Amino acid sequence: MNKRSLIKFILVLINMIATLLVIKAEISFTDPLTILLFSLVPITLVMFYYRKSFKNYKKFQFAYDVILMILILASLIFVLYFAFTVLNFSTNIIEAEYSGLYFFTYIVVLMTLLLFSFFDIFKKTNKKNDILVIIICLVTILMSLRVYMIPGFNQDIFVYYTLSNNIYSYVSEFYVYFFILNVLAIIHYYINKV
Amino acid sequence: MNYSKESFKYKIKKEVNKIIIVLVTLIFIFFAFVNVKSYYYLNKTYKISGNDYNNFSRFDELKNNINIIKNNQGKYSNEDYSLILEYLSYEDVLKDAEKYFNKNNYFYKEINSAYFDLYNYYDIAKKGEKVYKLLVKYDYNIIDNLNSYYSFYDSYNSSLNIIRNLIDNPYHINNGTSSYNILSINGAIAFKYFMVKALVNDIIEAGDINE
Repeated sequence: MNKRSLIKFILVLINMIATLLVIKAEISFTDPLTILLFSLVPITLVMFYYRKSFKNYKKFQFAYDVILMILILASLIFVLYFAFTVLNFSTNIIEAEYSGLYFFTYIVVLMTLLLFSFFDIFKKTNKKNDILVIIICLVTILMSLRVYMIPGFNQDIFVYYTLSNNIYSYVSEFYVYFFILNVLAIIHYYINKV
Repeated sequence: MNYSKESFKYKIKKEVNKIIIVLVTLIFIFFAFVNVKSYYYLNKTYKISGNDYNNFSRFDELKNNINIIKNNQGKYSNEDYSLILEYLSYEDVLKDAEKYFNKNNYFYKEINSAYFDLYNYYDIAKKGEKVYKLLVKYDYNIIDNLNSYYSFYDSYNSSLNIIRNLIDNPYHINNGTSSYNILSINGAIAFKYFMVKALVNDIIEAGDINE
């Protein structure tokens, strides 16, 4: 067992819980469809990463490729539909960004990182990438705690405040940066395969 | 050919890694800067002058009137009377007054807290509307008083907007301009008091409640 990856997995998990608590996600995670939608893109990305794992077993490889192809198509349709819905129901791109995109995409990226971290527990990993993800997760968790520490922070009007230029806006801006950080971590993970 | 391809790949990988590390570092520096900035503004103090709202005797009068309503049903039916008692409360106004009337120094974060404490104006408006709907059944003339109730509500709303502007522009305010605006916290509490007072007086009038 890779202990470093285990720490990474636990931190990503805490990060995800903290994020869901801070942005007060009004998503029912007991609903199988929601879980499927949130996991669709991450599962596709993880399967794409491990696409050559069964190259010695041709039958498995063929089945794997077919499933992967279906998942890629489903993900594409889903992403396009989501983008269309968000853009269609928002008056401008900034509102679209704040209304759902930043929240949804961040959760999807976290899910991807969580799945990668889970499979990493059982294999050798890149040390630099592990350290990078651990640092990013620690900073994100500390920032989420910082949000709770703001006096008078009110989650119900959190979304409205994201659009105004006040001291609270930095809280939501952070989530855009968290998203960028995690995407960078995933790119780093992809290009530094062990 | 293979070697050059691999070498090129390695170089690209190295450069991308560098870019990623630089971007992550830059974002972390930005985080540190924003946190320091927010810490500074959250702990900045603002003084207010001319705070003459320290008179709590007005609340005794309101308290007495509410007690009169609680002890006398007047001509209200049991159902309406229980609804009136449910909506009738002065505790939150008194609580806000006790908290903010004697304050002369505000931290930025306290202005935020005050705003969130006073933010429930939608509830107040709804509450007033529901009670007035009941009162009109007993005395139709009461509908004229709804106008003054809403004028207090508008003033209360404007006071909150002033505070909201103060919160929205934390980096552009200074002690001179903000001291007057911070007084709006007391103003909002006062208008909330006037709203409750108007409502209580109308309940007494419409229900023919006597001591």
